Amino acid sequence: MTTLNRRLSRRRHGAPAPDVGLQAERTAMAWQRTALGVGGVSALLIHLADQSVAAMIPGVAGLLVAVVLLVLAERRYDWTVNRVEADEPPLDRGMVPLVTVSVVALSAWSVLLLSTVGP
Amino acid sequence: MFSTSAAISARRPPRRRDLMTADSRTSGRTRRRSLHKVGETPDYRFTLANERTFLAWVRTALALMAAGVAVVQFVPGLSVVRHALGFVLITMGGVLAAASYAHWGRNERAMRLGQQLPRSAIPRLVAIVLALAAFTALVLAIVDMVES
Repeated sequence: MTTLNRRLSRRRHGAPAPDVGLQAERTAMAWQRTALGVGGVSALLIHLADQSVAAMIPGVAGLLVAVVLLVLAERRYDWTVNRVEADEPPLDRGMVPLVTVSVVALSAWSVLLLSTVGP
Repeated sequence: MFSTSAAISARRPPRRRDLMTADSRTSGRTRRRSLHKVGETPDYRFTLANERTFLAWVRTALALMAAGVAVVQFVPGLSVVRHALGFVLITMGGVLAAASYAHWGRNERAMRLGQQLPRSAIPRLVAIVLALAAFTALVLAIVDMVES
């Protein structure tokens, strides 16, 4: 259960849950797992940078993106539940392109880094 | 008692022909319009399920990238072959992330227009590339074992 979930549970104590299938919570957890994946790959790239500060920058940026995604996932869970409650669509407005661009950039950087770093 | 099937059918979007405008019928202009403005809002559970599917593909892409790094660093054998194999896996991770984003958009658009969801070649492509990569890594490991 996420922090916001607990907060929302307290706030809506006694009220019927708007998200009957726990879709919003599952989606928030999927975002959290993805953020952890971005963080893991970024940490791997930092490890491969071999003490070169310049080469660490993309990995550090990836870690920052992972943290931002974790924070946004929490905020978005709240937003999604509120949208569902208001019978409005919870269509993504930015996190999907953000994670796509980040993963593509990490992929490009991985190829570049591995072509310069030996086994 | 909440009935899922009843709720889904009650909120299922109208059929495509009921929603299509003259523009979309003639020129496919809806492809360029923002997702928020196309068709009608589908059941929110479909939208979130589409998003989770996209995220599952992104995690697959991340796993491919990690596997590519591992191949370059840890698989024994010729450096050229290892690097080539690793680059293929990592590049595929990047391509997969971009392709899953496009697929997410196509799915959402189809749901909003009440169309059938588009087929995707990504699962087959990933399976083929992964099978070939695993086979190559296995051959490298066996050759190294025989030589040493």
